[in-house]
Amino acid sequence: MMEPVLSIRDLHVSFATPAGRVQAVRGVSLDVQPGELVGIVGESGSGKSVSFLSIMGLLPGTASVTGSAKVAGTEMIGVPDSQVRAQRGKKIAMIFQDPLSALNPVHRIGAQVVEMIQAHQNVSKEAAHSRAVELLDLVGLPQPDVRARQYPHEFSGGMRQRVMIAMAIANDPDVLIADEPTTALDVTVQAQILDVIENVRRQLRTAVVFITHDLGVVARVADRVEVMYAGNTSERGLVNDIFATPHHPYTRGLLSSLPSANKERLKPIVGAPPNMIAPPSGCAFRARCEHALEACASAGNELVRIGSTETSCIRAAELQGSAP
Amino acid sequence: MRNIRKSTKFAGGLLGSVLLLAACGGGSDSASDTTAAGGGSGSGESAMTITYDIADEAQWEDATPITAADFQCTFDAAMNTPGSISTSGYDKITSVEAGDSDKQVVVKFKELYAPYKNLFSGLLKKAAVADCKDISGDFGTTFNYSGAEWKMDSWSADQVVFLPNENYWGPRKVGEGVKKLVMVPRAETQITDLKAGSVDFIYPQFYAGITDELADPNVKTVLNYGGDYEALYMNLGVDGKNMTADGEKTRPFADKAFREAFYKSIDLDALFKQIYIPIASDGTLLTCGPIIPGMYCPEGIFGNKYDQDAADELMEDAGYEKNGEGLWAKDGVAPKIEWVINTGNIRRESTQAFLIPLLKKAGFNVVAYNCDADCYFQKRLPGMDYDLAMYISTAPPDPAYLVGGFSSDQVPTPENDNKGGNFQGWMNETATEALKNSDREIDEAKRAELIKSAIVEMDKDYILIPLFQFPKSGAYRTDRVDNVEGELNNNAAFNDTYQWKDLDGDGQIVIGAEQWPGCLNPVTECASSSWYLWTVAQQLMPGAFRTTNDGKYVVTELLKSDPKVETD
Amino acid sequence: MLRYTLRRAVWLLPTLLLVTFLVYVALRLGTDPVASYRRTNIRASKKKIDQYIAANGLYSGAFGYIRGYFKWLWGFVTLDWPRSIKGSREVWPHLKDALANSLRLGLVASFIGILVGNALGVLAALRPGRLRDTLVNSSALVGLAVPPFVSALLLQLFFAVYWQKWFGYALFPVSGVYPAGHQGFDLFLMLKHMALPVVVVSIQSIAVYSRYMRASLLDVLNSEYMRTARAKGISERRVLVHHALRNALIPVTTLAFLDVGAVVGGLIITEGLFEYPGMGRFFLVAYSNGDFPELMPWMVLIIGSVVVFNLLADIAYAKLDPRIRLG
Repeated sequence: MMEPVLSIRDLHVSFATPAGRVQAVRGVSLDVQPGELVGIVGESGSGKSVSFLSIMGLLPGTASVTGSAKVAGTEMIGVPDSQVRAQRGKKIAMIFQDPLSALNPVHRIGAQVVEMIQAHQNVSKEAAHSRAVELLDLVGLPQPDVRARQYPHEFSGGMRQRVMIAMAIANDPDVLIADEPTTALDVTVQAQILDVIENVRRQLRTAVVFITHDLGVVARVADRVEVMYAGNTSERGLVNDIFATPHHPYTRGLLSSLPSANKERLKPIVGAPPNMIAPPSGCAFRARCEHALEACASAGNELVRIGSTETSCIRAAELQGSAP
Repeated sequence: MRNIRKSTKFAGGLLGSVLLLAACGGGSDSASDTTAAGGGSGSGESAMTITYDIADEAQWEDATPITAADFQCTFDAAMNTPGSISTSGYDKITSVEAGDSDKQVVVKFKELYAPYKNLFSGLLKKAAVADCKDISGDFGTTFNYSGAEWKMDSWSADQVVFLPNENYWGPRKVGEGVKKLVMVPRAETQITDLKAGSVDFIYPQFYAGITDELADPNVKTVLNYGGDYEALYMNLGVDGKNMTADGEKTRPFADKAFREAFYKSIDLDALFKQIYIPIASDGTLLTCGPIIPGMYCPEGIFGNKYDQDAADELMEDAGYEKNGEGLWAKDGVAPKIEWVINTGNIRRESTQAFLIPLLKKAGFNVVAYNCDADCYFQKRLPGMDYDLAMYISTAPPDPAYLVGGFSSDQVPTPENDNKGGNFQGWMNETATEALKNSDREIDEAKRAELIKSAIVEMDKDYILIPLFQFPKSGAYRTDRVDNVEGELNNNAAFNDTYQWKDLDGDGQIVIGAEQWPGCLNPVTECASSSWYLWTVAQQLMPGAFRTTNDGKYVVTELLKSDPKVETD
Repeated sequence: MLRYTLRRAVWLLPTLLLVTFLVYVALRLGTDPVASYRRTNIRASKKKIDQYIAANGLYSGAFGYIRGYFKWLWGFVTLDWPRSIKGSREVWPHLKDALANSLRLGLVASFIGILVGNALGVLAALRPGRLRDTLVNSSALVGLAVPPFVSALLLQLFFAVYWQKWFGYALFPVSGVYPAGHQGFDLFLMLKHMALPVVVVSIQSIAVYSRYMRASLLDVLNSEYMRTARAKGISERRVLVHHALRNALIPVTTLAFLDVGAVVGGLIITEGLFEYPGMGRFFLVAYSNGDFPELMPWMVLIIGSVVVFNLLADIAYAKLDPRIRLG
């Protein structure tokens, strides 16, 4: 097995709020291999975005982060800001959900890409600029040399997301975190962006962490999937296996709420995610789970391997085969 | 507080107390300034001739002599300059000519003119103006001559600087060590400036509490009872009515019985205690009429006549009876009395608050009819759009101002082009006759009797209620200047700056001016401001007479002796 | 950008003409210049009044207003200005002094207000909710709440009246442009006399700008593109200056241009409190006299300044914010 480019161990993130400490991430561990595309799935508030923002060091000062996250062997947690900053944008880059507001409105597109290049490479402005045009070309921007001189407001949402991708890959990072990159886009544009990301991964061998709440998108692009619930991994495994045989009742719930051609009606998961200021002991999903037992209340978060997948559900083995 | 100041200033201008070249409020203001008698006719029918002998050494700042030509020029300018603020007195003159030499001036009058000492009180220099008959365009940026102890060095919106006039010939030479007299506009900050030491002397309008504000170990405040007085005035209307913006209004005060009953329904002692004692604990009710105590003040008139029973009887006899609300009414109508003061003047507002309920109880339907100072003094008062008014006037030493303010022919009507100054509409033949004659009576004692008899008529007719003689206040830094108290009660205020001493040794005396003359022309509207007179004219212009601290006229060093007055 | 500027600048002249015409009409209707002239020059002859009417183009009737406006305009641009109604003085020498005094006071105070206010606003916004934010915010509120006459009075009492009492001299003068009797130019004395009025005006503008900048910067700091900028791994300083401030300055700059454009109008209250002979006092005197020949040039200066600085604000806005240029 190769050395993972991203290795997260026992990551905890909590936020101080006036109401109390919100435990957003509660002991996540995860490895991402080079060139791999891992989908991170979960409802909003499940801690999926927060986990990766914490690794990037982009959380506000109210957040406290513990554990370990190594990017290409370099620790990102609990080290000085300058050390994190040196990796940020270079080894690990990120694109965001809303391309409309993610670009600075007052700077030219080209300049924003150039800034990314010059932040980590000692090259001249001219060199950086021509590299920026290449990158814009790579992400499929027509007339990249002309477009580089334009401002964000002259671009459509999809085009802006391409620019974000071009910017993210400017320094050939090992890991690209894509935080819901297609959520805000039209369906047709979504597909194009997914193609661009897929393209980047193939051409640059960049590992991609694709954060989404949309299992359908994951099914299309991801190699592996990580399902998160209430700050923990509830299930992980190869995409095909998990879609074929989900072991965690939450995963099963997610899948049955997914629209598809052969389903008459969708079945949403009843109930709401738990309060993360005082998260329940044991399995956090048990309050919404139709299979919950008393034992679930004392269950840990250790993942149990069943076949190619791992799950935190203690009843996974006995429930196997019960209809989704 | 500033409203008091403003109103005082205006009332002063209104009654013509500060007119410079003109006599104060002469009786027959010519409606047109183009009908000047013109000089040089030399008509033999003069009723009065005055011969002025100019001092031999009298000279201008450039050492040229002051001559009869300058008197002639002064007369021409006052009579003919478009926009000349007053021709009073000069319009009685038929000729101004040189006598035996150009140092002698012979002035002929077509009729007797008693207040002649006001004439030629500020002399123009013929050589300083292009055309004596129209000097309206002169003095635009500086006052370019002097025949007095100072001469103007510079003038701007920030300050006026005077230097000693080294060619001044008279006894009022500027004291040793004083190199500059500076006046600066300090309307808002005069007291702070004085305490901070950036000005040496201020001459603020008096108001309640000013002495407390001025309290400082290095500041001395001097209060003098000068020519300012406050009174209540009733508007009789013209034929009992006035046209106002809201249409024609009937004036209840046209009825003498109504006025008398009104007067007798007010307890002036109580009012005085309520309003004026807090300002000046040792003050007394003014009883002279529209004038301050002195030789023109008749005794035993005005004052408190409070007698409610007599007032009620008067009203009943006049055909009034109290209606359901307890107000005097005739034919079912209770006449409304509109009482105007300037909004924001706390003392006057307190007076209204005190008197209106009492007057209502006595049966008079008095209502406040207040507006801002501009509207009050420039619209309602001259437009006679009021029934009752309350304001301060500044009386000059000479009573000639009464002629313009109280003669029958001075009620503004279309006949006199609405230019009269009798805004009460009071027409009393006896008083008018006496006032007219006073203008023509050269004998001081006889003139005083005439004036007094006119004032007695005012009392008999109940047309005004005199209230209070206001103090004048001056304040100075005792560590900076000395010997400044000599003329503070003078109508012409601090006109002895030549003898002020500079204690701090900076060689200059700095006066903070409460109002700033916006322009320098001595015959146009510029000259209607008291501060113009004080800060510019009297420092520079020589004149035949000047007033003294106790309200008398004395001949100046310009003349060899008192001018010779001959009548036919 | 050039095209944009030209397109806006083309409107400058028509705007000026239109606004001065409206002001001309408003002044004539509102102050009735002929009546004011007669009030101020009570005994003016018919001939003199006719001369005044002719010199100022105060013709009657609707057409008279239009003809009069062009008469006035021609006189104005050919520098043949009618004289003031009171004392028949040339208008420009006095107006020029007032203008210089106001510009000096206004520009220095604006400069300090903009500089210090924005700096404080940035400091506050960078640590929202913390002690220094609270300090800046509450002192700004105090600064806005304290009226100029109160701050002026306190400053005058302390630096002049009491200083004089304690030390025998006033540290800062309370009034005027120069000490009484001073003639000629003296930078030091001038600055000393400006000190207190500048402080009074600055307190207000510092308060305004610190709050404005704080709000603007907080808004920017919460933007998505700030996260994008940080994700690049560039220095925090560059993030703040190049990304945050650059955006936060857009509304602040517009405000600053408009503020500076209004400096020409003077400060009626502050000038009064310090006997400072600026444009505010010029206006007050001219207005109370109903002095049409003085009021019109004053108005034109104000209008010109406001219109030009509005244009400059627009240009600066467009220069700073590329989104505007297309609009």
